[in-house]
Amino acid sequence: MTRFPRWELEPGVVYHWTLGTLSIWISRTTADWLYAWSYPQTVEPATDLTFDTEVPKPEDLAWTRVIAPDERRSVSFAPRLADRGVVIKSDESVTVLPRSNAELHVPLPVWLVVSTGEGEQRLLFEAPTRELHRRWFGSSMQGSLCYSVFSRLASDRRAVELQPVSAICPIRIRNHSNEQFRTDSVFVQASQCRLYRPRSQTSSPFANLEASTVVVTVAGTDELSFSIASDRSRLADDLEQIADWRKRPDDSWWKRGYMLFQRISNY
Amino acid sequence: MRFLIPDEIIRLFTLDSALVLARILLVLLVSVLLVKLVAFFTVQLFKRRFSQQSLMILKKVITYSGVIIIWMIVLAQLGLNLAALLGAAGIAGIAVGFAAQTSVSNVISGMFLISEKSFAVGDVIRVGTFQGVVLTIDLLSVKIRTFDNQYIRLPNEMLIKSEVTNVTRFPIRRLNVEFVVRYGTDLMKLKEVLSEVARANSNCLDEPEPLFVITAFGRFGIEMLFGIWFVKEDFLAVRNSVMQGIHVAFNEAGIEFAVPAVAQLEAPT
Repeated sequence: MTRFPRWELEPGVVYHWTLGTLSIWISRTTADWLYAWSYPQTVEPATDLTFDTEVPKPEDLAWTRVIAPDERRSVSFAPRLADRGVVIKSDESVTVLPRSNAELHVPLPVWLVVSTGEGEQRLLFEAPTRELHRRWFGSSMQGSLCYSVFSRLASDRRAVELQPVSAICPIRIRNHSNEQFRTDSVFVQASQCRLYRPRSQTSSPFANLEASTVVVTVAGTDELSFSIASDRSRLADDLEQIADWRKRPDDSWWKRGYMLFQRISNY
Repeated sequence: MRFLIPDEIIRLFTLDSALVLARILLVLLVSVLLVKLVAFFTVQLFKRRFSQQSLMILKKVITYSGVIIIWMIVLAQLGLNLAALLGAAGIAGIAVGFAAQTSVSNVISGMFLISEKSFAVGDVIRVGTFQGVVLTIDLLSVKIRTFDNQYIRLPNEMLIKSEVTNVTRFPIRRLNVEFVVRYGTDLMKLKEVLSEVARANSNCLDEPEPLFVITAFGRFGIEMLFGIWFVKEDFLAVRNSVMQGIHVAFNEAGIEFAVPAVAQLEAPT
């Protein structure tokens, strides 16, 4: 059973935590909660949630006030994946041979979810554990806004360049075409991925995180399709799911049937 | 006090006329309800496929057509000769058409604007000196709200004849910052400084990459174009923060803008 850190907060006291390069400050009164977060350059990146009251909130950082109708005293922390797509770009490109498969591993940024309450938890706020840059995925006329991550597309999971807090995402590339498939970046619809952790891990709740497997099918030049694999394979790896997707993957039988029809009919 | 009602009017209130009146009222009630239902369900049916603007027009077309049909039914119930009435309406229509050429032109232009789909409700457009958010696209005119909150009505005919820029058509835009630096400036260093300005600004997109172009060797210095891509909603935030960022970064890096200067040289005595 997954246990995430929980703190009982005294009214009027300012508490500070660090995770990755994210610094958060939380305080509560009898009815209100105050929170603020930033990415100070001076703080060392933390691989696990670190509690430290010595770090004062910067003067120019404003509090966000949340009115809590009932008397909630505790905050709990949990990890979650990004709220939109992530493009992982590498300095070096990889090539997948015609009619062959490959598996790559990339790091996905992780969010810190802060909730209040003991039994029924209510979301207070969530923030990325490191400052993220945004990029556009697609043409300038249509596409989607994504987060941008620079990392090696590692074929060995141990070679993944893990930023302080990341989840490893396996990418299965199935090149069904008769041409080589060459890429220097990978797109992951992180909002549709689930988050996992080794079942045996009882401490360090933000370490060894894993994401759903993404399947990239290459049918020909510029004919790519992305899908999220079912979590059966991940659970078989002795992992337990700790966070669900934000947006349900659109992989209905109806859509799959329509895509198959498109491929068959060439329409 | 007693009201005197002429006998001719009293004679009109027979059982037959009362039945006709009841029938007309029934026809009116049922047909108005029917038109409203047809308009509602048609809008619901095309809600996902059509834009808000197209749905509004579809609803208006159904409503106006329905109203015309209802009036024709009512007039027929009253025993009026529709053929004669339509003939008269045709002659009146030609007369009105001549008198209202501009309006007719606007209506036709409006139809072209709607079918062309150059812009939709909510887009930011620029027409001549006017720029604002499109509020409605009607048959006669397009109404926009400027950024200083003025309401402007632009006749459709004018929009058809002039150049219209849809500022927010595409999801991302490029902010072009043009400036001139002194001839002695280290261009590699300048490029690094500008790249860092874009990288440090969370509103600037990493991809498409920022654009760095030397546009000309001008009279006073090297003319540059620095283009940064951003999501269209972030326009104001990007514009202010990038300009501020360039100013601060140039000051820190010792890069100077080239400005026209007059040097006063004194002749040796």
